[in-house]
Amino acid sequence: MKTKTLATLLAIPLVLSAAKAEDLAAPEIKVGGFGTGALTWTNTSDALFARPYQAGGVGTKPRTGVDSNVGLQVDARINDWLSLTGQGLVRKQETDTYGANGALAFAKAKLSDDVSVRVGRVPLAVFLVSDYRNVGYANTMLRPSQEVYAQVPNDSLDGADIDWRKDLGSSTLTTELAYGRSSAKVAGETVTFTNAKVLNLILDHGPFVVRLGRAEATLALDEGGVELPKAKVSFTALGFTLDWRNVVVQSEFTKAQVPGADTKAWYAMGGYRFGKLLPFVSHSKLTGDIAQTTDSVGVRWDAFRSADIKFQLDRVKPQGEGLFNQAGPAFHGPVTVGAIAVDFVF
Amino acid sequence: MRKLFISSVLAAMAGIAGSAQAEVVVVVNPNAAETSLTKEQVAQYFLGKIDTLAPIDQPESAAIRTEFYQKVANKDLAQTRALWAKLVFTGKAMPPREVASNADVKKAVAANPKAIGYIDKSAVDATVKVICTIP
Repeated sequence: MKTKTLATLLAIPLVLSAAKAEDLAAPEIKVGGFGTGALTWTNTSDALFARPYQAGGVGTKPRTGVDSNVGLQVDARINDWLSLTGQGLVRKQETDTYGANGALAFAKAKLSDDVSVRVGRVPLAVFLVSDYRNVGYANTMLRPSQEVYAQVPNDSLDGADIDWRKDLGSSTLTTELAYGRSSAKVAGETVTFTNAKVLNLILDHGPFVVRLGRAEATLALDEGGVELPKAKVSFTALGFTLDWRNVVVQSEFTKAQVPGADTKAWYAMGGYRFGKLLPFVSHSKLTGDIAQTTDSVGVRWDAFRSADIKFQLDRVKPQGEGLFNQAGPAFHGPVTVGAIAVDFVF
Repeated sequence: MRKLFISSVLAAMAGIAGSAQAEVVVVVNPNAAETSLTKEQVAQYFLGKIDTLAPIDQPESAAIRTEFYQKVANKDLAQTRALWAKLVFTGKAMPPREVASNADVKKAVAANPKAIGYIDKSAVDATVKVICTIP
């Protein structure tokens, strides 16, 4: 975000709180964070396994870089209706070194009991778990479906969003609208969405959540300084989660429309909670220009207060090199990927 | 009080809060418009799904907290924490304000017409209004 925009944002609360001084309660500041320390390995040295935005990756020698990250967040509640949030995230990025970025920086105004507006750098919420995909502790699996989440590597949006919650008795319908611009650096290229419009409908009913999302934007790809022609793109996602008694189910179908390079993907994950142990299985598939499937088994163990331990094994079947990096001529699937992680929040 | 304290400690140590606990009641400010809420509605406030009332939480070490979330939402503390991590780290909500005891919950609720809290039934007095009893 540009410094000027940020400075303006920071000034908003001062102006607004002066205007509504009668609401002024003592500002409340909260500092929190999340992180994951992980070790990941595979059974091949002919290609590198990585998260979709990473340049490097891991082969047979276990590495921490693929699945580890740490985030720090500061929330300031200025008064009953206004708050500020800033979040920084450190993880291994497009240059194969650990880097920090400002993941979130926004002012949030609660306009009424049901409507709130956020302005600044807000999460780009195009997937079911997209706005918390970096928070290991909030997820059942060790890493989000590579096949589905590779479709849009961007995490944040510079602009504004509005959130309208309609209370329907024992359920809630949330309508989210966002507009702005989003830029993400991934290995070898910069992915920029301009004029991005996002609409999400989320129905929350007890243990069920159903989410329908649609995003449209103009895509500008910059590959090593070469700008490719701009293209109109769209993204549609239907997601579902169930957390009922001991049963945990999560599934999502997605379709990315890019001229000449449409992709479709889906995953389904099911788990069963035995006290603090949550074993799960998952299947995930990407079809289109790049194709790959992954079958996973794993377990989440809520071993400590505010921390869990996860173990996951994936059997990845890429078509050609699939989503792997730096594939050598001898590379072929399937590949087995193992990972062990500790997720924490504070 | 001391007996209650000892039984709370025992319950916490055994990891099975509830057996030695009194009934839990959900309270709001006496001037609040709400007169009664279902268990499911109460859960929505404490799981961050609606925010028309501000939830007041008890400490994680208190047996009543474990019992409350287990009974209204069927969730243990780790599940509740994971759920709040989603809301907090996406900037959707700030976690419930946490106070030290039944008495402090009553104080917070009495001071704010938009607060909602939970306490032991035996601690109820005229400063708060009971809107849900959780057996």
